[in-house]
Amino acid sequence: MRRRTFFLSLLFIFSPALANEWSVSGFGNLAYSYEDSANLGYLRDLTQKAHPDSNGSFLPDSKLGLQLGYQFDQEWSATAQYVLAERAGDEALDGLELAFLAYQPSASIDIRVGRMGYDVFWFTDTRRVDFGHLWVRPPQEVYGWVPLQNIDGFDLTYRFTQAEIDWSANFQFGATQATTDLQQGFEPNRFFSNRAGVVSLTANGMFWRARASYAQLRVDSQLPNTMEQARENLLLTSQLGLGLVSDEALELYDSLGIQGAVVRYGQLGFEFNDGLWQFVSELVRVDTDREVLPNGVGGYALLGHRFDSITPYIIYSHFSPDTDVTEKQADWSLVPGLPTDIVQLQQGAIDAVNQTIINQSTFSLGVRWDITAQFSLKSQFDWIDIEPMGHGLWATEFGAPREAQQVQLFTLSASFVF
Amino acid sequence: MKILSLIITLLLSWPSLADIYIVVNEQSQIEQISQEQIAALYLGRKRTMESQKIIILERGDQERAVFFNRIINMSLSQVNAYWAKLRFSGRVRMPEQVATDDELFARLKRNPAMLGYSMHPPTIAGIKVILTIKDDEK
Repeated sequence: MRRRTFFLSLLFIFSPALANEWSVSGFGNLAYSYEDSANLGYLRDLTQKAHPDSNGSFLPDSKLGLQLGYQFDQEWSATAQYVLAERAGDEALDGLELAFLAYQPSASIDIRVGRMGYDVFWFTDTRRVDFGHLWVRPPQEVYGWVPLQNIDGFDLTYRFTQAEIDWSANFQFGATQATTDLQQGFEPNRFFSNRAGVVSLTANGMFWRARASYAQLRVDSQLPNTMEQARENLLLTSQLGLGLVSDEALELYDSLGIQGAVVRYGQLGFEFNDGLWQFVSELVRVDTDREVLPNGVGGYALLGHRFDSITPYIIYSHFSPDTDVTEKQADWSLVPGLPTDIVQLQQGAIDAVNQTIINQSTFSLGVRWDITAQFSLKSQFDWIDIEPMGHGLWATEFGAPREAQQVQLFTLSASFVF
Repeated sequence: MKILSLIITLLLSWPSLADIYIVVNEQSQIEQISQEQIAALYLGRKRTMESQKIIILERGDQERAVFFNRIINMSLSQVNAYWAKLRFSGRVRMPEQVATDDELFARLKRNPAMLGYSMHPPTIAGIKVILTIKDDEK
């Protein structure tokens, strides 16, 4: 009797009627990237491990994602997504990109609670879904320095039609975190915010879309322990009453403190796609009062044209910093009575502040070949111009010279969905 | 002669040469719809028509390829790429897929909120056509 009940239960669980409520899908990418720089390591974004000596690797652009959905009824559903990819963070939950409960009380309102993609810029919540995009990767100058992938909180979307245009307004609020690893030899930095919010408005026409958004977060984490110890020493130096040396030490102490900083992101985007021509462009701005966090304006424009299953495209992207390069103001070695390693403290702090400055532009030429409806091959050449001290998107050795540099990056990528 | 008849029959029955019929339950309040509104519904940008919630039904790859090429000039790969962004951002659920016209018409008859498309005009009562996309429109 017990066995019969068990088998009946199994039959019930796997009956076709209920099987329709579950959905399993996924996406992936196998890609090889090669760059010709001897002292820089290519990073798809700042959440990846720093390998400055690496020239060619499968790691930065390869990934595999699995998504599981369950539909309770027309109003309630649940979704979870896990992505295996190269990451500086080594916690199991770092790969959990989505895990939310969704409620649709009407056709115009969506409410989600749990972990969702962080909707800062247009494609931040689909940046890993390479099959969905024409490019091999989202432009580094806009998406490379936003390490935050998801938000734990709630998400509200309201859809409406006005003047024959379909609109959607979105609001997100919650906590967000990411692990970054720019310098080899330093421990990865766990960056988090418990107060992150985004509002966005998207307009959809027949062949075009436009989007504007504003995001803001307050940083609740500190830099890694080694950096915090250096800050303590800077604070002590600032309290010694050494004139210019103490003033400079206090400035460096403030520059390296990220806890409590408010970061603001703004975005404007436009997309046109009539099935043959595709144009996408975004202009973004990030603004903070701390020099060690990215500050500046970035943007890109993509133009592609489809010839049956083959779509060649070009992209130009650029990021200009608002932050000036921090220079040495006083010669700390001339102050009598200070420990000898005080000069190293000064130089290390200056290097740490300057290491995150991003100042570069990229011209990309690529082609996408849709071999089947669910599988595509892409190749992309990137010519990257990095300005002096503007290496913030690259894995480097700490304290290495940061001169102007040109880097060529080539990527061959196979992407698919199932 | 038989071979010629077969070729002509195949050509005439090939979906890319067929008209596309946008169909709903006869009880639906929607009497007509534009090609632009159909595109918005099937690209996940719109969920209502005349304040009424619409549940769209999808078809197999062969019909989808013809349908999207006709309404918005997109290849099936482009449509899949577009939907990959919606699905894997977790924002929009994939529409339910029906394999045959019979299944489509049966589902529409059960639910007046549903909308679908077929390469053939409905042959049963209780289903109405709200838009015919002629093959010669492109």
